[in-house]
Amino acid sequence: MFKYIAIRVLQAVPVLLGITIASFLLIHLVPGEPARIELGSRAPLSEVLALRRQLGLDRPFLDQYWTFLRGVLTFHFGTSFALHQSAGGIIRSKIGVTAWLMLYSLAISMVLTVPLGILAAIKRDRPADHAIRIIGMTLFVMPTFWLGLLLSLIFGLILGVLPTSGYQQGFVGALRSLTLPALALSLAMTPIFVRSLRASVIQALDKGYVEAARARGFSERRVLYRHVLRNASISTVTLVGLTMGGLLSGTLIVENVFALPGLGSQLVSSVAARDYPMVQALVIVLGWGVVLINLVTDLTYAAIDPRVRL
Amino acid sequence: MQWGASIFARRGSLAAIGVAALMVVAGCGSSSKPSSTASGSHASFYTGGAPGGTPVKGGKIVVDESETPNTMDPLAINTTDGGDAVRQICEGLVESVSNSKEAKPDLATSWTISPNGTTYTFHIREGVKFSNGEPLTGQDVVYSLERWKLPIATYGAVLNQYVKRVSLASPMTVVIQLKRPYPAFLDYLTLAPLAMVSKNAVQHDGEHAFGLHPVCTGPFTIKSSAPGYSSFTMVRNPYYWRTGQPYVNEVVYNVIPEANARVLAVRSGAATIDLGVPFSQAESLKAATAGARLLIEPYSSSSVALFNSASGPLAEVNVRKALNYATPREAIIKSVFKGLGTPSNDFPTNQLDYYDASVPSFSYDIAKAKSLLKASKVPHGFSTSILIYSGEPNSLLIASILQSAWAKIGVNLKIQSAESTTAIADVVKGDYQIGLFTPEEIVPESYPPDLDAYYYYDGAPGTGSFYKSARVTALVEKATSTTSEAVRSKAFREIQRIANWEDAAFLNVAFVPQLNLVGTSLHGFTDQPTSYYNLREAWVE
Repeated sequence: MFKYIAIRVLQAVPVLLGITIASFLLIHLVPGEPARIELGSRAPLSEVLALRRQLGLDRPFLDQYWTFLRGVLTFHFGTSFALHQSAGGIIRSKIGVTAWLMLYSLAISMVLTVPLGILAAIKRDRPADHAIRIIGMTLFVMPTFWLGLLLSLIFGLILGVLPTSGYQQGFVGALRSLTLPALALSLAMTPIFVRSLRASVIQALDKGYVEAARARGFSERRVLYRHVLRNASISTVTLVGLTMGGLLSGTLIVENVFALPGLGSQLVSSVAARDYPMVQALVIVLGWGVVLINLVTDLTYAAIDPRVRL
Repeated sequence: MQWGASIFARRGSLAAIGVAALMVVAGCGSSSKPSSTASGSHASFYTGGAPGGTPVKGGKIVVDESETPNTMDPLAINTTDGGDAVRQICEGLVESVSNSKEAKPDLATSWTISPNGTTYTFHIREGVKFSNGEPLTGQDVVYSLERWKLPIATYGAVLNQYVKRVSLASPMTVVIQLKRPYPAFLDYLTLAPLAMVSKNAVQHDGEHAFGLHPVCTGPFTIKSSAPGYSSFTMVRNPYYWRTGQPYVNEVVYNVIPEANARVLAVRSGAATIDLGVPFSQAESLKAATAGARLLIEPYSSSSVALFNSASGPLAEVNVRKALNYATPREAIIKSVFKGLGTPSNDFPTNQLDYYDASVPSFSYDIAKAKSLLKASKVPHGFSTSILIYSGEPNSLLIASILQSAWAKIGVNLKIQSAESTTAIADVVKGDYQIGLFTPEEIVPESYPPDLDAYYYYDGAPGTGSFYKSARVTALVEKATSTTSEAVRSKAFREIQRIANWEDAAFLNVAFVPQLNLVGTSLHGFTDQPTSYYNLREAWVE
């Protein structure tokens, strides 16, 4: 297993290198530049050029990229142009919010997926199954930002049980602040997982070992949760891993709608400010996040299915 | 009220504003300065919060803003919301207070201006302390004023053209010598970037640290801020010189980019103030809304498009006039601003000093538009494009209305959208043909029109305005340097008429007001069209 992990980490290196090149090129090629934005459009050209020099933006492209890459290799991501603070420090202060948001939404998804997927499978083609699929599809096609606002309206304003936006400190405060955003994200993903699990459970229910388990007198509950679910969840786990990238991009939207101080909202404002060091640092960190999530998915896969050898 | 440092300093625009100023603007139609207006009436610069009541000490105000400030150092603040926030912490020599467009004493108790208008002598208020307990001295004032020379100074480029020298005549008397008369100088001293700061604090903490925790004399001081100013908290300044103020203990600023989320926050009671409610919510919020009140306030901006008149068909005045006549302003006001607006006849606003309501605005007249086009070098029409910020539904709606309206006169309008920073960069470079901006993007800095005249009527670099007229340039020079109020008034009115009517330099669409939503527990909150809101007199039940 450790050898497997080491190999996967090494395999991630060229992926991350590609990400650094892509993000560096894209942010530098987009019109608008940090010095002009920082000083305002009315600043004289001489001052803009002076700030460009100060920020090292007048150096050749490759030189700038190499400086950036050297920093990454030593975990120094440079100083944010807009905030004048260490980019790494800003990321450290905000990564918790994003990480908790993703985990929370994933947890909500799993809590909803398992019972709904099984229910839809065992009540196949009956009203409960249809209801689950129709509601699921309706939630799936709703834009996340709209869903977020709707949840905010219902639970924040009408019922008044959760905050409409913002992030409160402390465990309880954070939990309350992240509930609606996590719900918005999970309701967008859950229908896919439910459909996948439903199909896998239906398939698994037809297998011989299920009949054998029933013949041995096991309760239906035990058959479903100890035998069927474990086998059926493999494809769903893979699907969860594949959608993590989508979840990450979803946090960008949700963090802006709910004004959460996470990496997503920071990325949006950094791109608008052409804050090169911040954008590049965020992309690296988020890229690492996706690689890590995929690794965890594979390990989970192996944990569920003993036949899988890493 | 929102104050904008620059059309190009704003990012992430909003789509707010309303019109309630109609009645007020009508009453304010005189072009004279407030003090000389016979009727004495002016736009009723807001009135926030429930009227009446005796101030109660304590409590908290939560302000939801749309964008993060770039810094809390007043010198370098270049965003609307940031300027409002900083002005609660830092004060200037003079201030602009509600219902008056004139500068009033703040940290300066009095001042004299030499007869030739080049020497200003300020007497600094005694007994004022900074938020760290140190006394405000004349040296702090001199230091603060000389910071304008720093590259990060928001108004450095303009003010350095005028300011010759700053010196101390006595420990608490500061003299500012100008290179030439600048009648708007006193009013510019009311602006946030020109606030006074503690010299010791800047030198001790360094510019960067000072920007995180400025030490000033205002009613509040920063207690804490999240990285990137996504939220920050101000507490009462224990050394504040105005006895008994501020009333509230704490002001919390939250940055919530999504406009509808800000509305929900106020309606749910999580926030007290939301400046900039979307027009789409106007009708629903006008009806009784428990716990919140919609304020439709005279604002200092307008929906406007810039013409790149440097070249092409738009360089011709007949073409620009034709487009103006072909613009259905009433339809735009009705669809986009929900009827809360008036056709505009001035760039950028009707709230500035010397605004002349008698300058005509272009009526919707297709026949006239066609005849003007026929007399131009493009009698059969032409193709052009309009640049809008992406993700701006109001801009898209306006552009779509223009597209279908102008098609009637043979003008094929292509709508181009770009992310705000990119769009601004394109406009500054001149890489656009028509640029449409939502009201927040075009907001004058203060009541005197001098700065806007310099930037937009005189084609100063960095604004994207390529309008240049020898007559207007001469008038701008005269208006911004004369000490005669009568000459100034006449010159600015003439500038308005020539640029907006005779030359049709801009596509002025509508004057629009701002929609603000405040909690009903809020009292004493004052805001102004071309200045800052005031929280030192605000209190909550």
